[in-house]
Amino acid sequence: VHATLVDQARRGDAEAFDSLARMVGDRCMAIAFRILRDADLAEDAVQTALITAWRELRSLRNADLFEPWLHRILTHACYAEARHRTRWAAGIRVIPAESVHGLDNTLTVDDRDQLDRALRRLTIEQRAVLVFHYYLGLPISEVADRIGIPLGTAKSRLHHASRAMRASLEADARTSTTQERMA
Amino acid sequence: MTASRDPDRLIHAYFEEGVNELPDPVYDAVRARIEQTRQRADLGPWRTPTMRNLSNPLKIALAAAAGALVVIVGLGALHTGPGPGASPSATASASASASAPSSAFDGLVNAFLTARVAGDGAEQYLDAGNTTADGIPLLYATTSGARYERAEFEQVLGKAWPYGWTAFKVRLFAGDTVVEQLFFAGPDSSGLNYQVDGFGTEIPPTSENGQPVATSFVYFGGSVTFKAAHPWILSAPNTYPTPEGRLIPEGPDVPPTTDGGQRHEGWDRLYLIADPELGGAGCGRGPLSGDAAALAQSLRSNPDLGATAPLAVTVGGQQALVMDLVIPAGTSISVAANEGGDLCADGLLNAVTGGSMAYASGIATSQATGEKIRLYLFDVPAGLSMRIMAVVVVAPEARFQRAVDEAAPVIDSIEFHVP
Repeated sequence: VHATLVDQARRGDAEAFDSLARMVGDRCMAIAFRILRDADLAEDAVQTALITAWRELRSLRNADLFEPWLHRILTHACYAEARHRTRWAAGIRVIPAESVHGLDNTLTVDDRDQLDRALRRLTIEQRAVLVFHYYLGLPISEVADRIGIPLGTAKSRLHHASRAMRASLEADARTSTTQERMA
Repeated sequence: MTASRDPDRLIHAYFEEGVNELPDPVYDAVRARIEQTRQRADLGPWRTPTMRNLSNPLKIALAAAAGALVVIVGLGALHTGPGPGASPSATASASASASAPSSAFDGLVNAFLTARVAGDGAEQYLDAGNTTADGIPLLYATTSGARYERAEFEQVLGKAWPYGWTAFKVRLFAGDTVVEQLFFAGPDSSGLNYQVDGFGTEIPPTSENGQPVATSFVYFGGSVTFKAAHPWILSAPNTYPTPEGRLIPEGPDVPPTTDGGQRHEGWDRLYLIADPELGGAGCGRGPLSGDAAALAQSLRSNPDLGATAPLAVTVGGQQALVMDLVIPAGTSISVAANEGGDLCADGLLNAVTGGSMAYASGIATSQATGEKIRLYLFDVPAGLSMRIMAVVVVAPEARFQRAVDEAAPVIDSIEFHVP
């Protein structure tokens, strides 16, 4: 379905592109939000990416690769949003009630805060690698391809970013253990 | 929280949360914009640039007006204006400007260059997002400090610039010295854009009398500095555990580096690695060997690595050991990996690992690409957080000599800084 719509859109069919955009928009939004952690910035990035994709669509050689191609454009749109707008206000979200200290692999409020803080300390490029790897579940070689960076760079970014994220959780675990002992 | 919880699962769970729906008004806005946006003709595979989402037409209009005035009064910068493939003219003239094809940004470039010749106020014509750490090199004077006397520019439309970006090569003259720089502008730009890596094109971002001007880089928290110039592109300093340089390819069979998304593939590389690992389970272990000589000997004695005997050399006033390694393509090699199966960032052989990867117990097994490694091993001064630093140059045999030659001035400029 994608390929047919891409072909039509490539010939200037705005209706086809609109349909295409609605098929891939939610996933783009999910990716952009996770990179930027701000819904407004993410919407702007997706909008920019879709318009850019329309403008450059004729350069796409293989219609089947529309979505990976779009994700690369989206990633760069996220970079631009992050660099040009420095408002990193914390997003307001509804957090489900749960225990402060999880006993399994459920995310707790503390975990989320620690990971939020760790993520915000990472560069936007490192975040993008994390999102494509952890959220989309892509192997690192495909992450490199999709973002358009060398494999070594992708590995390096993932290594550094994952370590930072894990370290934030481990630091939290140490703090919690200490507090529990003191109590 | 219990210590037994799996951090990777928690990170996965963290990324599962969040907004998953694009609101309808965004689709409507996109639809409205594309109705008014013409698709670009397919001139070739595009690269993906850093996009700007800025809009300041007033500023551009004002700059254009200022530029028009500059042309009229004949000051400073003038557009020499040859189109794609045209030869640049060293002599600017009002008549050349009048007859040459012009872009919407001519006024902006004129105003920018006029300010540079005047020695003040050029920054106002730069894109608001153009916040490069080192700014624009040689903005108002040459390396020797000579002030610019005149300037000219040409549009380099011969390049397949994507996303409506226009590129300009500007030329500033100070006596016998000519400084050339590459700038970009797009439909949404608020000014001219300079990229430290020049977007990785064949044109150096800055050159002086034809020689690319080197940029200084600081890595490993200030412990290591060096300089690199076009055709190298370096990763952002202090961002990644293994700084990486990529060599812009050359040759008649090489597509222009202004081409599309695959432009990074197959580029030769240079890495700086602190306390390099070779293999073994897990990441984050200590150095493989106590010093460079021991590491070199260990590499040399491993029959799988095809290592030459280490040779003591002096590079940039510092002692190092140099040796070549080559593992035949397709050879199964094992290197250390983290718990997710990704190669350790400080793995010496990561650079020559390709294809699919099998992971088990901290070991990742893959196939050698067959590329050649030139390895420099430095014993770093005491007081730094590392004991050995490796410089790794990677290229296939056919391009190896070029990569090594291009890497030489970079390696020569390496300096260690003890706090």
